[in-house]
Amino acid sequence: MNNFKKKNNIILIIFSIFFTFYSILSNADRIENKNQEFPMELSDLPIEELMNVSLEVGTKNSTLFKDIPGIITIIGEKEIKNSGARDLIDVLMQVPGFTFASDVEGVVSLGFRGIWAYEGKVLLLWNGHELNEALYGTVQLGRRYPVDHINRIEVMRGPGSVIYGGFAELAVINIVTKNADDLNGLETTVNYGQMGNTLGGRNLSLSYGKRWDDWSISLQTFYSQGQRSNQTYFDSNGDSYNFSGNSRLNSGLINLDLSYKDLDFKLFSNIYHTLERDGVSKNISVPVQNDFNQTSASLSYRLKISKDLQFKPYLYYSSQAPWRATYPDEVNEQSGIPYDRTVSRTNFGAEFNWNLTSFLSWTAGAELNQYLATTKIPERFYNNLSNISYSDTILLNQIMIQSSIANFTVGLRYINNSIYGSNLVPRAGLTKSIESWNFKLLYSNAYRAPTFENFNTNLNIQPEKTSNIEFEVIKNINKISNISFNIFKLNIKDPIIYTNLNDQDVYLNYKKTGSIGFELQHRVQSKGQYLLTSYSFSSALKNEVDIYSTSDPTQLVGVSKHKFTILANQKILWENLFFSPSIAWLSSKKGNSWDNQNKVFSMVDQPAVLLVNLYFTQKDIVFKDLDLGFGVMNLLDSQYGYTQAYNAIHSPIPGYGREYLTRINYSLSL
Amino acid sequence: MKRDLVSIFCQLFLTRWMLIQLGVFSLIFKIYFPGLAFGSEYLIEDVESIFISKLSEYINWSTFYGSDFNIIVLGQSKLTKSLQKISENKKILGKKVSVRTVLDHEKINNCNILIIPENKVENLGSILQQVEGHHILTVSRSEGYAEKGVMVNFYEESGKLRFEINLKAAKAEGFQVSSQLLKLARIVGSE
Repeated sequence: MNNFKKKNNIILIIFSIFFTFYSILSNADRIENKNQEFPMELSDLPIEELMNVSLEVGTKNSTLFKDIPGIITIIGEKEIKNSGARDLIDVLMQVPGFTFASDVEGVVSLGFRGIWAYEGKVLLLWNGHELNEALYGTVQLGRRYPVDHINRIEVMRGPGSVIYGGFAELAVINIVTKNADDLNGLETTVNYGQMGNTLGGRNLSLSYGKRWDDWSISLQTFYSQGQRSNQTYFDSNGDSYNFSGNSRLNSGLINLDLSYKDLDFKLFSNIYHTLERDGVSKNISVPVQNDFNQTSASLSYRLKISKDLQFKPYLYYSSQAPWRATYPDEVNEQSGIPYDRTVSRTNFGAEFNWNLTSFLSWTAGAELNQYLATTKIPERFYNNLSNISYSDTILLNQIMIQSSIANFTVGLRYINNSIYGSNLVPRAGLTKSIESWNFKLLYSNAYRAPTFENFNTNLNIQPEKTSNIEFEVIKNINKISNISFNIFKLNIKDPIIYTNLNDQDVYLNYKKTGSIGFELQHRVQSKGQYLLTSYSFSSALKNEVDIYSTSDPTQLVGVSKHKFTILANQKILWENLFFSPSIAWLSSKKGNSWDNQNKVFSMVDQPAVLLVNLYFTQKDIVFKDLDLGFGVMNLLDSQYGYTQAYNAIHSPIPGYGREYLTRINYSLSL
Repeated sequence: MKRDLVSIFCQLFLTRWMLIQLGVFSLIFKIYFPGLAFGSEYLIEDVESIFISKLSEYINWSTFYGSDFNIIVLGQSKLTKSLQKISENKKILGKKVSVRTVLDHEKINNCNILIIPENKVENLGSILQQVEGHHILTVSRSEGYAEKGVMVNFYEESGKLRFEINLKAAKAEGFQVSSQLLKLARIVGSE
């Protein structure tokens, strides 16, 4: 009986593959052979007859933001450029829900909706390259990624796990850089920032982009040197040092996108060197270097089978070497954690996008991931081997139905992990527009299997699972302004949390944590001028992670419950001069800190902080497309410390102090 | 724990989910493309550019900027090349046609028709504000743009090019649209 079933299955597979690819290739052949000359013969037709002309494939199936089953924030190139943002911290500070905190070794990263999201809970994509490293799932921020390269940032506030995988547990930050058409020639940007007597940051970007008929290329390069802060840090023993010269953040990056027709090759490489003296329990006597490096490449082909059907096979490879630290012996004695491990990910898959009818579209995909970790220091993994691997296979399906009642989206992701077995992740969304109102009701789950270092430190670790429900309403007030409001409730079951037991790094499954809250955004935009305001609130919900707990059950360590932001841009004084002030106010938070007056290290209320930035841009200075920017960030020189996001033994890492910035940007069309 | 690629690949294709998916996919494919037939088909940009070049036959301009009939494409678009081809030896309302690209909407001037690509959704309100009162016909091919104030918006329906007209927006800028064109269009926006 089993043999009979297996035989039937094999016949079905062969039939399906053969028939599918035959159909695809038959169409592809016809498409390729088509005459691409301009159809002058149509120019004499009256409009009535033009309306009967059949169109070829190629129209992109674009879903309007209002129909996307997610809470979306878009940050455009101009908003980033006008604001004087130095890095992703400055940009995301203006997005509801995001806060920033610290881990160890001077590393700063993000929290979202009241939860420390750094450990693989928010996915960061740079032109499709996954920036979360696959050993721990973390991503490090601070003068690392060049915001001058960005065309737009699409932030999906809420889980995107069905489409984007395990790291998209709480949110997805999808960064889209300038393509060949956006660049259309050369572009160069030079930034310089002075923080007190210390170099804040200086960087150089060189980009080139061009399209020739079927070919297009965009090549972007970036080199940056900077410091985390010029303020003073106290360790848990009260020893202090100034971050000037001790908190270097140097980054180099190359981003290439080469396309021929629908064949696309992408290459990304980033080297990030940091300097820190943030030892395990006390300051290290000399600054030491940590490296976080990544190189990745992808090859994809978008085959337009018909105007309604696209098929996209892809191949992706990534090699990452995060947390690399090889210290001199005297430092090893103080910090004790040299580290040199590499992780690679090979990914092969394909996706279909199919508009089955005018009201029904289907997205399906299959993917195979192979992960491999190798170690030099420490020399062995838990199983006494120098390399370990695992794999997962993924199938996803999503159907979108557009109807007069509402638009419905239902998605399902199937994961089969070679260690943790199989799991199903569902999502469902309902979107509806009524005149100037837009409504979204969303439910989504997320599933994240443990990464290498999660199970390397604890063989009993299990996947964490998240469920999220949210509702959004958007009111378009008039042509230039709108207001949006959303509420959310998220629960994480078996969260995978880093802690330190008996001087050993270990990951544990705690029982659960979660948050509930709301976000409010208002946007007014007219003739290049805008005013964007936001307020976000989150409260801890059913948290049972003791190292996240504070005396207030509604507030987790290192998190501000309230955030209020303003970002504006206005023409002033004379032509082409723009003034862009921005404000971020974050309410008080709780975290461990050294009290230098009472000489005690304990969990205290860290006061609310107001960050005020003023930035000016003079466009077309001297000649066309030469822009000059200048301004001051953190005008009030507020002491914004990145609190350690769990109850441990580090004081807050000092944030950027007052910094005077200048930027020159020049674009040359070729 | 360690598995080689071949064994995982086999596992993938022997997964029941994959079987069901492939089976359904091939069945629908068979129904959906019974003959796999392609007749005479044209790039949407080419048909759209011809359409745009004919709009002046149905829409009345009361004033002009410059000596040429100026079409501006906001940002890079495949449409630019098609418009340039159709305009090479063509005159609109007796004037030579100029097609050019402008990357920044704040730098739009001397314009009779403005083409707004679909990726401008985040700035659409600002773009429309910029051209308001300048007697510029706005044209796009993006779902929902006509409702947002673009005067002529193209869309695809059953493999054919269709268009909608926001008559209120067109009239507000002083355009008179012929009844012949209105009969063919889907009208959006209440007057």
